[in-house]
Formats: sequence, C-alpha cells, structure tokens
Amino acid sequence: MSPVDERALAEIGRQPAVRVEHLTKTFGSFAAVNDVSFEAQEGKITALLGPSGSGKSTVLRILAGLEHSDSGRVWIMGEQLDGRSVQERQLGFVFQHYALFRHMTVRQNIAFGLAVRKEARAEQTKRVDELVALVQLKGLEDRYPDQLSGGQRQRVALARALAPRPKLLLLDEPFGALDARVRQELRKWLDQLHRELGITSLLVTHDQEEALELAHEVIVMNQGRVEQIGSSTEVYNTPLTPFVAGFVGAANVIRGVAINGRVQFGEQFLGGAQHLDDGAAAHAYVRPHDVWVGRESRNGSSSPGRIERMSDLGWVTKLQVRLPDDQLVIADIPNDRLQGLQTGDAVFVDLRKAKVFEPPGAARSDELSVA
Amino acid sequence: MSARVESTSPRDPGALVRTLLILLAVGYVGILVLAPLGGIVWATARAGWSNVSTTLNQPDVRHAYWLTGVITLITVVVTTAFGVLTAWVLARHHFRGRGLLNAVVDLPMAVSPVIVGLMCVLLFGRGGWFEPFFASRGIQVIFALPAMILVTIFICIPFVIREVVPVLHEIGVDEEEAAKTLGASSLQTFVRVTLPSIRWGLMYGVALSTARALGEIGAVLIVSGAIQGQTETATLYIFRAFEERQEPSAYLVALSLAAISIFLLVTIETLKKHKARR
Repeated sequence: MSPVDERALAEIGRQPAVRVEHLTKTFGSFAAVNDVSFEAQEGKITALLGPSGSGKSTVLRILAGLEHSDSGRVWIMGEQLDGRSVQERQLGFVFQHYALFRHMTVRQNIAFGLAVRKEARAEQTKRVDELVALVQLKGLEDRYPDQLSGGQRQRVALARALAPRPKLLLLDEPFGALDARVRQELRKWLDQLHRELGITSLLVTHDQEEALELAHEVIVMNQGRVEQIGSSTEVYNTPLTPFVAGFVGAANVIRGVAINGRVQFGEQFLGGAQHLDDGAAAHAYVRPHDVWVGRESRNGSSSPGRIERMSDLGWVTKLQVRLPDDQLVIADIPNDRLQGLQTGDAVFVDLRKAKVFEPPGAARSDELSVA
Repeated sequence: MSARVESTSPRDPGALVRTLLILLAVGYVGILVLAPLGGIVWATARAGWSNVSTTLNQPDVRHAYWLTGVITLITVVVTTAFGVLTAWVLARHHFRGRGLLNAVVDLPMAVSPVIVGLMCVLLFGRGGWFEPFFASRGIQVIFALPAMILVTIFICIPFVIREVVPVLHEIGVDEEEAAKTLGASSLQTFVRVTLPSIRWGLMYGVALSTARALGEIGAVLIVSGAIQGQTETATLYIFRAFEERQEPSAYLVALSLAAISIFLLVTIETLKKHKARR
C-alpha cells in the first residue's frame, strides 16, 4: 500500500460528521456565502453564529439541499452530497417559524416523515409515542398547531425532524421567534435533549449567548465569510478579528494610534499593539466587565475619567465614563464593588485585557494578535 | 370587545355616521341584489306547481339543462386543473414574462363575453385559422359543443387562479420545504401539504367558476347558434322562452340556476367558517 493510500485511510478514520469546502453562493450580485469552509464533529452541536445577512442560514439551507451552491463541496458522514435532492439527503431540519403542517394534528405532524416513507402503521405509532414523550407533549397529540404555544410548536417541529432518525440535525434560528423567557427554557431543554440523543447538530443563531451556551464549537460568520472557528472560550477570549471581538460579547472600542507597541488615545496609553506599526490607526476592544473603575490610580496605566451616567441593573451597575480625549467607555461594575461612586465623580479607569486591531476596512494584517 | 361596546355608546359622535354608512351599504346591496332575486322567486311562485311540471317535462328544457351540465362540468374540471397549475407557477416561480402572464390571466374578466364569442368564431368559423385543421378531420367546432365549452373555459379561467394565488403567497414555502426535508416527493408534498392548505381558496374558486359557467350566455349565444334542442343551454332557453312570452318557464329555469349558484357559495362560506383556518 502506498503512503498516499495509508493517509487516505487514516483520513477516513477520523472523518468529521460534516465537511464543507469552499462553499460559495451568490444571489444576483450579492455574495451570500463566500468561500466558506468548516468541519463539524460527530455527536456535537456546532453553532453558526453571525448577524442577519451573514450567510449562516444560506449555508444551512445548502447543506439541507434547499438551496444550491454555485461552487464548493459538502460531505456529510463521509458522503458527498452535492447534486443530491433534499429528500435523498435525509437530514432533519428545524425552521425558525416552525413550519408545522397547520391542517395536521401534533401526531400527524410527527408521523409525516414516517408516513411518506410508507412505514408500517404500528411502527409509526410506536415512534410517535416515543417522540411525544421525549419532547414532553403527552396529552397534546390531537391538538392542531394553532392550539399550541410557540415553545410547544417548536418542540413538535423538533420531534417531527427527529422522527425519521436523521444522521444530522439542522436548526435554523430555532428559538428566534420566541420570547426571551421561553428561549432560555428551550435552550436548556435542547441541551438536555442533545446530551441524551447525542445527534450531530448544526445550530444557526444570531444570539451569541445561545451559541456559547449550547455549542461545542462556534463558527463566527460575517458578510458571507467565516471570521473565526473555535470553542466558546476561544471565540470569546481570543477573538482573531475585530468583527469577532465586537460581535461575540459586548465590547468598548477605544480609538487610537499605535506607538511603541502601545495604543495612544489622547494622553493615555494601553498595551497590546506590538503587532502594529508605529503610527497605524488602532482600535482597542475592551469588554465592559474588564473595565476597572476606582477613585485612585491602580498603576501607571490607569486613565483619568469622569462618570457621566449610572444605571443600576440590580446586581451590576453600568457606568458611562468620559475619558480625557472625549471617548466614552462603558464599565460593568458589580454593585458590591461600587464603593459609593456617584454620577459626576472624577475616577480612574483601568482598561484590562484589551484586544487591539487595525480598524476594520484598513488593510488586514495576517498577524492579528491578542494582548 | 370593550372597544366595540364603547363605539356604540350614545356619546360617540362617530356613531351616527357609522349607522348611516351601514344603512347605505345594506340598502345598496339589498335593492340591487336581493330585490331582483325576490322578484324571480315571487314570479315563479305565482305561476304555481303546474308550471313546474309543464316546464320540466319539455324535452327542450331537459336538453338545455343537460347541455349546461356537461359544459359546466368540463369547464370546472379544466379550469381547476390548469388553474391550480398556473397559480402555482405564478406564486412559486420567478421567470421572464411572469408579469405578463399575471396580467393576461385577468383578460377574460375585462373582455365582454360577446367579444370572446366573436374571437372564437374568427378562429374556428369559416375561413378561420384553425378551421381547415378541424374541418379536414370532420370535427364541427363552431355551432357545436366544442366551441361552447371552449368559450366557457376561456371566461372561467381567472376564478380559480385569482383565489389560489393569494393563498399560496400567504402560506409561504416553509411547510413545503419542511415536507421535502422529511423525505416527501414533490407529488407527496403537493397532495399532502399544499393542497390541504389551499383547499378553501380552491373550493371558492371552483364555486365561482361553476356559477359563472352555469350563467354564461353572451359568448355561448354567438358560437352556438342557439339551435333549439341542440345547442341551446339553460341560459339560452331562458332567453328564448322570454322572447316567446313563456315567462313562467323562463322564471323557473332562471330561479333554478340562481339557486344552484347561491347554494354553492353559501355552502362553501359556511364550511369555511365552521372549519376555521385549518
């Protein structure tokens, strides 16, 4: 056996559940998906995270066969799927607006995928009962979708998608149409369900909290491109692009100029710009909970400022602090560490864990790094 | 609910205007629609039972009913099948000329049936474009059933399409896409998902189409020649009976046609309400 073959065999051994290579899709002159490549591991939830219009839903629809890519290739469980019809792919798909069959009962909805495959009646009934129990909808089997709450409808949709035992579950903003409290509940419930079933899942969401909480791996997308792929921790703590720094979690952007590996803003400095040339424009991303505010300077790098506004959110207070060069910084300070700070107070601000990037739109450096 | 109670309170200055508008609408519809209907009912009733048996025993009348039935049945089947297909194409596909097709669909509503009849004569009558083709095969089109069916279909084209297109737009493609991801073929998707979703709109379109086919006279008059006992439909019979001063028979047949149409529309409205939105 040649070494090439051996390598090919080894490849098969550690094949990812989903492999997407150089996927591109344009609508007219708009590149919805632009050279997207990623892999998703078997048995895990992988999230496609991005703002609306970032192309994440289009990627999911291409995987499902509901859209056709202009170029690029897709493998699922080692099978190349391009050119296969939606029906042949046999993937579970959960839509944002449920897409339940409105003239069918819960039971008929869930059984649909089995009925069109002409499975035996008894088998169908058994499977539907199983799923109704799984999604905790016992007693509602004979209701119609318009007699259910949003959360219940989405659980029916999930049960319907799972019924034919798909190899892969695709979830397109599954909680997008629900209110905040139900979202939270369903998110926990989905996490639980996934632990039980272990089905490989791709979750499309614009909600970074949802992605960070549920996903094993997060693919951050923007304007049709992949910005970063990594674990929740990596994406949050080590953003590779200014977009990721700004989109995943809240961040202040301090505008300044790179000098001697530091960012100068007004008379003040902060570190972390070693990768930028002197004189280059620099944006420092600092999370509100990484901003320290106190009455005295903690070290040489603290900047003076003045508190302009305070809003108490119960356990944390949001402070708007005006810096000497007129930029605003928002700081989240836990209420037990406020030390009696008041609006109008002169304070010192310490901007910790800043991530410095060239401003978006400026020539992109390949060695974007992190402080 | 509370808003409605408030709006009828005597302190509401808009109440008088609203009442006036309601009376105006009721009066308008009542006088123009219900009064003539009542007139026919009254005239038929006055002619008594003997009129019913003498009219219905005339071979000409029976033949006219039969002819109207055949034309209506074929028209409804054709306009339903092709109507659903056209509605589907208009609602689900974007293609060059879609706007034009959309406009052309309404043409039969805009053109007087008499003109439709004339166009048909021009195409199939002596010296018409298609006349040699059918004549050489011994098929009589004009002054015969084929032309009568053809013009009725033409006139009924818009009804199913116009009822179904908005429903297809409203239900969107989500359910159809869901069905496909669950393994349903295009045919299964249509039969199990799309058709049940559009059924009320479709039935309403079919009812309108039926009513229109039953009542058509202008185009049929021109292409049929209105030969008594041969190409005379129920409406044409009414027309002739009236001319020949056999008013009671004319009233009876007219009432029967009106009753069928009204029955159809009312039944579908009732069923639709009863079954809510499902």
